[in-house]
Amino acid sequence: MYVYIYDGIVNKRKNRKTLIKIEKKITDLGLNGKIVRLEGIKDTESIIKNEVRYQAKTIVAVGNDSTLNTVINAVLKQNLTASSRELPVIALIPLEASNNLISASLGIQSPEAGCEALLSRRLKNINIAQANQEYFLTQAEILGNYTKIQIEKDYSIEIKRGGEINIINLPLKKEWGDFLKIESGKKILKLLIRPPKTTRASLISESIFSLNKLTVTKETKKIIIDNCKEIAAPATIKTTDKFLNLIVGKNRYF
Amino acid sequence: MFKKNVSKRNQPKKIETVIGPNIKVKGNFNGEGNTVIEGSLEGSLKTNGDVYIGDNAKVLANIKSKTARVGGVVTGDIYASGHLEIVSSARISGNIECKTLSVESGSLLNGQCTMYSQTQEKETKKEEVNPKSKK
Repeated sequence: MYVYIYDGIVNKRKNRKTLIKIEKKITDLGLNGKIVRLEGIKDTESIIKNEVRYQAKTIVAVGNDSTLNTVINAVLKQNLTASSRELPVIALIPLEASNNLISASLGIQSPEAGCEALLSRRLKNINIAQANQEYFLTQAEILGNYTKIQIEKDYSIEIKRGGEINIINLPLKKEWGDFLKIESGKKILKLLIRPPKTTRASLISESIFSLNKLTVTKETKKIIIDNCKEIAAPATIKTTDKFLNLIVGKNRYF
Repeated sequence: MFKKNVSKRNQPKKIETVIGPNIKVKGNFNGEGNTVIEGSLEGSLKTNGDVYIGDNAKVLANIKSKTARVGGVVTGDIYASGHLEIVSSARISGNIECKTLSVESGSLLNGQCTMYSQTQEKETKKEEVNPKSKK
């Protein structure tokens, strides 16, 4: 059974036409299912948890990065001990171009491509990472001029000049996917530190570390996971034993 | 026209870790793949792969690796189970141990140099496996 989670943004005037197109395409493909609307609901996670409890087979997030992150957190927090086989398959139909970096990473470039991906059902078993109590699929971005990162108990990294600091589980940029050679099934995070004003990926200016667990100290301003959710520093970011089956497209970045 | 990019020379192809120029790493760094150091490292470095120390790198650590290319300032001992390459920009204060060695003119080495032949290495391995056999 398909359960479609409609984010609040579906009700925006500019998205109405796209939503009608999506619904028409879903009907044409015979993929109809239950629609759950999140607009106006404060505790969105508990609504999705209910659907997991009622044994939804596929949960489709219709919206943006934030919608997908909410769905992933709700699914994993509902059943903490379940394996990826027991959990529903997760899919994403991107609704608008902005705040939709994850869909591009998954190889779903448009709402139509999202519907077609549902039909072709190309599954990828993906390891999910965690920042404090929140799960994330793609990356955690660290903001701040001076940052100190403790890698497990072994060593620490001091970053003196601000730039881009990302802890990557799945790449949000295509060049990172090629450059870092990320494999979705492996329980490894890549820490990528780019100095300011670096345009091209090169091994001379960037720093790369492979790790399982790190702690970001309180000097950091903030941490943003999955391009949508803010986490307060200090924070512990780590790989988990949790895997989810996601529907992906052909042109994914990993 | 014929100028080579010196800093990229002999860099390992598959790189697991890169310590960039603006980064300072403190502690015991244990890796599995190839490591490139262009910034600074304090503590120790242990890896099964190759180590490339860039011309502007500053290392205050003991290094243990498969092969090593040293270009920057290293204060500490270097143990390479294979080849050790010391280029002209290298400033090493510490002992070095390796199987094969190449040293460019202009480099500085203050410390003891120990080299192992293949037969010696085999004997050491045998001793490690069966330490009582000698007695």
